[in-house]
Amino acid sequence: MTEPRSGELPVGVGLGPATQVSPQAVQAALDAAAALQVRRTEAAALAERGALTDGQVVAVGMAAAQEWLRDEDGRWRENLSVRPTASVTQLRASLPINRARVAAGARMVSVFDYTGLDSVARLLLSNEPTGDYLFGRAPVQMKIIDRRFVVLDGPAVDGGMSLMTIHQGPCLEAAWRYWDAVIATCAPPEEVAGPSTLTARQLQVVALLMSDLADEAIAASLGVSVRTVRSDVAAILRAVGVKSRFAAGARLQLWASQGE
Amino acid sequence: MTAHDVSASTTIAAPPEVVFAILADARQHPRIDGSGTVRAAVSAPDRLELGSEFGMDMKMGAPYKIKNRVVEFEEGRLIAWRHLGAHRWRYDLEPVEGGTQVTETWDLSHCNAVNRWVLGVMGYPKRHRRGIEQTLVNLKAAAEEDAVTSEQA
Repeated sequence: MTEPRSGELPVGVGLGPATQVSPQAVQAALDAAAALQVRRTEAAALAERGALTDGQVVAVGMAAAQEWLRDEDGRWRENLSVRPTASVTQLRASLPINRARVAAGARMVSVFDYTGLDSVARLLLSNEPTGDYLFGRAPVQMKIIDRRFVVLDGPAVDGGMSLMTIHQGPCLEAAWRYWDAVIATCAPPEEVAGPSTLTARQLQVVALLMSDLADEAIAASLGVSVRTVRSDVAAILRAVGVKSRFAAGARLQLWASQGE
Repeated sequence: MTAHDVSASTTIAAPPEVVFAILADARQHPRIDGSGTVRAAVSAPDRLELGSEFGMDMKMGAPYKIKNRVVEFEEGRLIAWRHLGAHRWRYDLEPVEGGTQVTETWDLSHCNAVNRWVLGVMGYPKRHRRGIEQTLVNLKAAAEEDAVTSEQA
């Protein structure tokens, strides 16, 4: 009997061999996600009562969570991250941070759920030169840090989110099982081969032009100089067949939004 | 990832002029649209001809309007239109035994390499394959219904 293969996956950008992921592997990832959610909910309930012994709530509220991550991030040597969704705006913030961490010697593996990224976000990731970015089935967000603890959403506090870390016990074990199951659904993003005249970074510039960004913002997002972005944009102008930067941005957005 | 033309054909048990009458009437386009994006004609001549402009209410997630222009036209045989993009929507009609063979094409031959690539990256080819197949099903049903009605008249 031949192995059944999943047929329809949403759009092909960067999925590469992910289109060959078996339905069993996907189901195993979803089961592991459900099991992790059960453990996470138990831990959050304990934390709410101040009875969590396997970990602790480290930040309450979105702003505090971001600040905690920013402060702690620099100390981590390995970050195994699972993200169900990411927008271009979020990636523009996180890719430069990840590049800096990798440059400083940290190991980062980020798995994105292939159902939670739009085409432009996939385009940006697929052509990212630094770090390990994978696409798989990854419905629950978490980070496993230095193989010691997992960062998860904690209990709701006053209706807002919180972050908790779990350092031992069944919840950490469930996190590891989830990680293994997610990895089994993964494929590296294939470079999305563009017109032969454009490089991988120029394709990232195309993605950011589609998102209506200025040269300075594009430079910051990609960690290159504005001068480099301008020379990339010039190559894109030639390939698109227009004379001005404004026309190129408008034309790319038109193509991206109005293929009807 | 570069997009290529998307095309499909069907045979309709109706004469070419009946099929063409639907295609050349923008107010009937929502009747045959298989993509679920075409809502209504907002401005259109009674009958399209070469160079005609017609505005359509669209909805893909959010409602929007587009203005199309007929760029290829041969009475009873061929009609194609485009909007702001360089790609065209074309219908070729050919009389065959018992009716009309209709070929609908999402035609990218006027698009440059980057345009085709962007359209591919955004996933349009796959979406349009489904849309075209459903449009042809709808066009067949509509034209065959019209053919019966005109025979009875």
